Amino acid sequence: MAKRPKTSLNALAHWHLLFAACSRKSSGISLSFIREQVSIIQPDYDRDIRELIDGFVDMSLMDESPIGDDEWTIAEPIKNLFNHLEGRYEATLSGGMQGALEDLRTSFDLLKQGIEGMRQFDVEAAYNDMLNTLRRALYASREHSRGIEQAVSALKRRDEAIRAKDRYQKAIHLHDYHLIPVRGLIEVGGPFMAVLDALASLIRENLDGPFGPQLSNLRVYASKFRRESLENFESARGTLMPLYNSARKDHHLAMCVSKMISSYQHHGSREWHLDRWLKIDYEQVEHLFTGEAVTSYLAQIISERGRKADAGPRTLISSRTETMRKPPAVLFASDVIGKIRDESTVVEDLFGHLFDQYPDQPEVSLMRLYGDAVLHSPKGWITFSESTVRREYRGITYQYNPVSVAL
Amino acid sequence: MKFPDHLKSAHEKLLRGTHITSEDGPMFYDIRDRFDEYQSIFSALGLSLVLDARGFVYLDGQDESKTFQRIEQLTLFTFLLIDQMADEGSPIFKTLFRHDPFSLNEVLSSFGEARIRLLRDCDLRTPADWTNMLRYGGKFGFLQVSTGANEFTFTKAIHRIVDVALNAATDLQDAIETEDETTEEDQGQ
Repeated sequence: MAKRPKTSLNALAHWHLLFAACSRKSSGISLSFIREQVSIIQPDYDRDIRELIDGFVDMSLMDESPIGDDEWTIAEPIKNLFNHLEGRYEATLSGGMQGALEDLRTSFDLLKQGIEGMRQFDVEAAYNDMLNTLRRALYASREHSRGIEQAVSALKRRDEAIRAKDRYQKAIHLHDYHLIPVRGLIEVGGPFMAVLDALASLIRENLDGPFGPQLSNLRVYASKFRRESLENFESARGTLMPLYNSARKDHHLAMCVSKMISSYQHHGSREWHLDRWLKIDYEQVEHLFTGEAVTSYLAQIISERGRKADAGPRTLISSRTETMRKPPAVLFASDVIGKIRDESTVVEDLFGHLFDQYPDQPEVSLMRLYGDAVLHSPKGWITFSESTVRREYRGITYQYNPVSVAL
Repeated sequence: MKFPDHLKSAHEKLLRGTHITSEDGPMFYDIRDRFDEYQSIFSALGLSLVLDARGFVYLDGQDESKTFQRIEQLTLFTFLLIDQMADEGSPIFKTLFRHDPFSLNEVLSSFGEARIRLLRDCDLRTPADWTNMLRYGGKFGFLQVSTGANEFTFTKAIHRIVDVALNAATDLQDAIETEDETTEEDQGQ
């Protein structure tokens, strides 16, 4: 390549599919293999294949194999380059592992047959293939994990200005097309582990035989692959899942909010049903009673309970206390107004009337009833007195303008 | 007789419609840690105290009559801000609860004409309207608002407004599907 770098690079670019195919082969490349590949890649190529190969050798892209005349090898740096590119490409497609699995199955069959037939050459070839395939699979596993981590990082950094929907789509794509297929391959009981289990069994049965050293070495690599491929997968999963989950939640919320805004544009807030989904208990400041009133009221409850309860230390009131006073039934302003109307009662002071008529109701409920009754009574039914009065109910002095009800 | 330490102040806040959140510090943690006691006390007062595991407590409204225009405005404003975040591709929940305060002016200037028009439809027209909306949000415990009401952060209680979208949108979808089915049936006849 050093002789004519530009020509070499042009040739490499033109024939990159051929070099990619050759790089995948772990053994020597035969003339027939190159001829077959060329016929696939460039069917109209009509020149002598040997001349083409000689050109590659001249440009240091290929080397003549030390084994025989009709066999070549890809120059080591070129092979490394293509293996790297191949690994990255396949990692992005989650295909690297799948391709390696197919090769691993083929090598395993060859190895098994070689051992059974005691064929030294076949065992050596299968051993080399299997070792390379395991290395390649491990490489693909690392690249796959790294690819996912890089993609997640880019999404987190928001390198691209994308909408929540697109962000979610990208996270789904990484999850469904990259993470899940690899999990399917390497999980316990998955196809990769099934081949490795069969390999382990083969190794166990033949470790003491003539191929012991090769099998022992294979066992180390298989074990390394098992461990590291799972670690790589867990690392990718741990990186992706938080983003995937948050993107899914964000997307769902964004879709719901979009519907709500669209509804608001057409109907206002009517269809939001805030009164159902966002109920807020609220009292006007003048209706609030003091913290002292609360403690005073609670003291009454506890005192009463203390009288009824058996002797013993008084415990703080709790929902588990059998003697706890049952909360009174909830009253609504409409009930109060309805009762006044039904009984045709003249009420000069609604506030005092509530305290007189509903002694079992806590003060806070009476306050709420009072406020609601005043706010929601039909126009003309209630009249505010102009004079302020000070009256005491249940030990608390209230200052207010009485409201009369005329039905 | 020993009542929980924060009973009085919690009672006054809650009865004003305020959500007490983890951002309120000791008061929230006292209620959370002694929730059974607080709940029993409020129950004896005829009130329903709710502890939300996401980090806030509030009094559940007992009738459906009370909604407030300011709450409606805050809800719309929050929805528009979430919509804006979705358009920008920001991680919504993470951004919603970020520690850095949102600047009201920056939010409004990022909204664009369509969103501002919706705010106007909801009677949010002037800077005074906007700051009042924020102040009410703070009063009910949905926001922490700066002194000048020009900066704010969301508290955990904003989950209640987010839940409105998640719950009501499902109803809206059901309504749309029912409407579509009715239309199809009508067309079929």
